[in-house]
Amino acid sequence: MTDKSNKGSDLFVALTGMLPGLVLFLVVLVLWELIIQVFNVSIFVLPAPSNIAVSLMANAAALATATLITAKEVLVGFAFAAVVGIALALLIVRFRLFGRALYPLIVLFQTVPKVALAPIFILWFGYDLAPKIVLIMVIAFFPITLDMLVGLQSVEQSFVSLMKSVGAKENDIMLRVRIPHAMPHLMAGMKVAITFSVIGAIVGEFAGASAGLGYMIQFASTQLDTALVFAALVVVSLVGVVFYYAIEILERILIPWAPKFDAVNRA
Amino acid sequence: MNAASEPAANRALPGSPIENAASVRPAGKTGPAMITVQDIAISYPGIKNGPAVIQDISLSIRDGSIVSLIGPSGCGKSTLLKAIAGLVPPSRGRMDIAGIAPQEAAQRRLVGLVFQEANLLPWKTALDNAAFLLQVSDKRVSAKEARERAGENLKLVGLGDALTKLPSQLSGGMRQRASIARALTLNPQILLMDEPFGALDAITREEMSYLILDIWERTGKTIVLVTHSIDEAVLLSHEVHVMGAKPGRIVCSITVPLAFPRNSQSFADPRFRETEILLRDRLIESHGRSRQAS
Repeated sequence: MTDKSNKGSDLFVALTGMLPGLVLFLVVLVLWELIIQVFNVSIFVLPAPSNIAVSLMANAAALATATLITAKEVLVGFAFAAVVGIALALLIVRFRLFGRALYPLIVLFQTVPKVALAPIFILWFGYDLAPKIVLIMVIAFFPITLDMLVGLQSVEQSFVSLMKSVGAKENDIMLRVRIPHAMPHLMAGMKVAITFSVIGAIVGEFAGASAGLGYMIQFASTQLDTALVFAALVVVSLVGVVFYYAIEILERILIPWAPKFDAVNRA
Repeated sequence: MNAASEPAANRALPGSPIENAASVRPAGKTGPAMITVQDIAISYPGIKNGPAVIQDISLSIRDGSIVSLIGPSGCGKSTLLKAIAGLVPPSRGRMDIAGIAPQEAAQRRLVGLVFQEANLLPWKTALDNAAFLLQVSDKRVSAKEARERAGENLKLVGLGDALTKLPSQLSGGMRQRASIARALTLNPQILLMDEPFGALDAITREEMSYLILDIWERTGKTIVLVTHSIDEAVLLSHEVHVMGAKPGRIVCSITVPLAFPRNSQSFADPRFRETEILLRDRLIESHGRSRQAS
């Protein structure tokens, strides 16, 4: 009974927390619609929210197909980014000399504008899934590596001393302390990386694709179908939001002990 | 008439410091030397022929005694403790713990460590935290046995009702109790405590001091305590070593002439105040010398 009422009150608090954002969103939509109608702005320049809604419904099937393709690219690319990002962080911490050699190269690589690499990846890997996955991976692995590194290295030195005092080996310390300790940091890096992954997928499709939301945006803009461009952008944003909260839910399931960051209540 | 029953005025006179009271044996059951440190020096790691962190330190700590190290920040108290724990090798001199080298003693779990930070793993309950080091150090001990021993020690430190709580659900004092239970679960002969109550409020600190006394009376373990609190050192210790800085060294050793068991009444004993004043004087002197040296 108490559990149920607690869950109910949690839901109420969550919904109440979302209310100001929803109200502001609705106000912006209404103002946007009014400005378009009052100033008679051309639909080619800026469509009204109602035009975007109509386009969303009219192109629902095509958008759904494109969404599945882009979502697949995001998921596969993000998975590779996670594997590479985590592996690099583990190697850097476990093998110090290797880490000292590798880390500056990773930082150097991070400063390369990844968008410029998209045409090269198309040249190397063709028009299919592969170039998009590689592009997403190179865009998204860095925040995962960086946050994982912070988590692995921020274990209190006195705790490491405590482990060493009872004869624990580096592998013991890594597996039983550093990795679990790094999990909240890893989740924070993954949340940043998933949003980068969505951007990577769209950029990859811009550079060369025959399907997906990025391709749809590019195609619609060549047809001067600005309403469809915005409709596709709405779907892209929704894909990003869904993936972001999927990771947040995963975080709550995997590491319920970790302190939760509440951006709204902290502000 | 022994020193303890002499009038305080006689014993506090300049020229007859309480250091001379070393012949007054404390009432605790202490035995032969458990920790022997002979003329050791420790230098900063990685700096060949660099300045010594600690130098010319010799100590003998009896089995079953409580000994405190006090001194200004940076005088090497924690370094000395880490050397006893086998975590920092001395660059010169010799140390042994129960007749063997410190590193071997640590691996045989003769030594339990408690730091200022409780260092509990946030994803483990108090029980699992207390069992953790034992499980890491000895793969032959089953999880069940480790948890049973951890449970007993958590009860000993007054956390019998908090076995399933996560560290985030415990107060600072409770977390430090859990870290003491974790050290005790190793069943070490020696407890090394590095400013264990430094992060706690005054009342909790005092409660923790009584807890240490209680644990000592029940287990008879040798306890080496690093502290900045003179009160704490006098209340808990058989002997207090005052350290000076630059380089870290022992400037004097004072035997506390108070009988065990000790409790809140011990503060009212004139000898407590006298020892406290003497220690404060020695600390101020050593601090002044350290400043001149720098």
